[in-house]
Amino acid sequence: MHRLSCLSLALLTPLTLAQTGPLTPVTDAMLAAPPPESWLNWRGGQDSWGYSDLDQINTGNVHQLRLAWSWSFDDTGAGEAAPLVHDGVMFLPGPRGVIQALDAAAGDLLWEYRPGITPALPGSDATPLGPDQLGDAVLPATAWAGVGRGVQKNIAIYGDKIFAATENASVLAVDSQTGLLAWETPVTDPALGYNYVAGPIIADGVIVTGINGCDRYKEGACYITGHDPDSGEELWRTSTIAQPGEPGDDTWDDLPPAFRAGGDSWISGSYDPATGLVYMGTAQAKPWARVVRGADGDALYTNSTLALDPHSGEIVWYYQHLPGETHDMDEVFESVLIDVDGRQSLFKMGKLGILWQLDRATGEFINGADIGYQTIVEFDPVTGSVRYRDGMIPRIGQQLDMCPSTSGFKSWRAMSYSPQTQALYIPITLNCELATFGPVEFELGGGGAGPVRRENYPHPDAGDNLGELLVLGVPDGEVRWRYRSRAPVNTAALATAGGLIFAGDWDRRMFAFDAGNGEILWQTRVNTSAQGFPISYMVDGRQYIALPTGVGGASWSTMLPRDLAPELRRPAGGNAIHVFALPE
Amino acid sequence: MMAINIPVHRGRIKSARIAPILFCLATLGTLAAANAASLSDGLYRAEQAARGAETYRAVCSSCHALDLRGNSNSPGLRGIGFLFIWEGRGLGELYTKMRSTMPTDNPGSLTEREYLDLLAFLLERNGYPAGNTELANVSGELETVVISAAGGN
Repeated sequence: MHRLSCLSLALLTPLTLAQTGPLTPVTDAMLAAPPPESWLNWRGGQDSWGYSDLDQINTGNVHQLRLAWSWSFDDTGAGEAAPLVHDGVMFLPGPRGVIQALDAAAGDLLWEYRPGITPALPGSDATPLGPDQLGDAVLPATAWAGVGRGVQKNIAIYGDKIFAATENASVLAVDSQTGLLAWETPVTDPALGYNYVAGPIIADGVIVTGINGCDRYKEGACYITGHDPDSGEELWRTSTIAQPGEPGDDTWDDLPPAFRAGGDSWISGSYDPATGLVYMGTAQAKPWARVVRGADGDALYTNSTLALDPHSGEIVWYYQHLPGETHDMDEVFESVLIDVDGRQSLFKMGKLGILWQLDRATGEFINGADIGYQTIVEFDPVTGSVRYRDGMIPRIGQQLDMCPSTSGFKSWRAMSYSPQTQALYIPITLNCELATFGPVEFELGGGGAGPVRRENYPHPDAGDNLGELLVLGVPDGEVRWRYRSRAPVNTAALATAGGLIFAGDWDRRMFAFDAGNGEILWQTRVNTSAQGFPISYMVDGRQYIALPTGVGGASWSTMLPRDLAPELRRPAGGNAIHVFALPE
Repeated sequence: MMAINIPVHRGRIKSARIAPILFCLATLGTLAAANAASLSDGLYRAEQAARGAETYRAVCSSCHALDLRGNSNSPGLRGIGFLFIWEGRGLGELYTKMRSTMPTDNPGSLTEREYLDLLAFLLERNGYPAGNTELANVSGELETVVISAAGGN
């Protein structure tokens, strides 16, 4: 059936398929230094700059930008797509494990992979998971516990395969030319709540993936795995939770292992061929509040940046940003690898809005900058130490007034870095919350984040605005410019060599900013919320900007606009990709 | 409406037997004049809750989990997590929140009957007894019902 579809497409659009042709195998060298025409890693380069070297579209002509094509993808779950482009083919991750390959110039479908439906490669011994195991991926009506909204943010490409991590806690590979399943490896039991929402990255020939859904009490912690790209064999598994008898055990007080929850990886990592290390963030401990989880210790290795050897999984170093975190102030987000005056550095920002600069060879704290919106901690920019302000550690049933809300100033909308301006472009949302943390059931199957009586309110520094694109200089974090909007800035940022920054907002607007001064040089309005990871690429000498839209999208999309900007509305559907180019 | 303070403790609700008594006393004092219905009266039918279970499985469980205990971004809908959020608040408020905000990726997309069935299912899973009439949103009746702890959590 699938091959018949491809054949039909080939007959209908022979030029299209001839254009795309056989795909060049993707090598480690290509991933490390992607051809400018391509977008080979979820954030472009392995350094996660979210930056394109293309400059055909630039500050002088971006006002002429117009729609080349658009494509709707399944509305069966939240759309937070981070597409890849290779050899003129766009690989688009959709909800519920669907992957589609499109002609990146014309917008024609070349193939699609659907879990449980697409067959295996001829001659492959791949054993696709059956409908009983696939649960939500094959039919939303059979959702398993904890599978979320079917989010599939990103995928990876290497050799002749596309790699994905599924909501059913498996890692799989499909043939990049046909979409047929090459292998699928169940990693753990999704019935326990395990799932993937962030996709794999490739690090020196190893698939590295972190699992999610570790909030309930269960035998088995959260972990990051390495898989072989040819066979799917699991090469190593590293727990993100310190275990008894291991370093960091005492940071969980006396909690038994089954009650040490959290440390999820819901955002993908970065890789540096120079250091040979993978950089992965981990989420906060669960339940969120110390008093609810019953431990005041640091809770290693939650809310940390981990540097891992991709061949052994060894934690070479870790940096815990907020030891013993207690308000859901996640630090799991992207690691942006920038050399500053010859020093190999890693930049990241968590929900609190503290910009961290670490030495990516040693994990040493170099520098930090609090953007000044949070009211929870005192931050020492010299040492990087964090101390909770008086009265700000939650007690059960006691209301706290805190900025940000548990939604955070920063979330999955990744920042970008432009080497032209030496600045970071950071989508944030301004908000605060009256929060009252509550108890959980202290038994296997119980736990979780913990209930919160929540009342969101606008940030006093932001007037009526929820959205901000904040531009900070590297390395000191000085504010270059900021753009504010009523609606949340709801996409990752994209920087280009054309001196441009692309981003979109919840209120269906997409923008091109002058990277230097923030002037809006182009904008358009689309079907629903801009949402996902914008990219740029080139086919046959023509540069394209691809901007995703989406439904769902977690609390920045589903809660904050509803509560704090109720006059704004968006349609109920609309997962799509919108591709723009200059007139031919 | 008056919030009814039922002590809940980490690990287990200890008010299973006391709660209905306190609840009844409280409602006698505060709501009797309005002839308010009580959750202990059996405000839904078992068949209705069974329909709600099917809708829940299809529409809600991917966020709130099949066992209703929730996940990181989705609060628990049973037990002490549910009571922490909803105790002392009106059933009508819960119904309005469901109708206006759920499911988060397509709020208001179910029929009124489906939302009422879901509410019946939540009541059943939180230990409130079934009765002989279906839960309905007639004349704002739900607004007068206060959520309190029940047995069976």
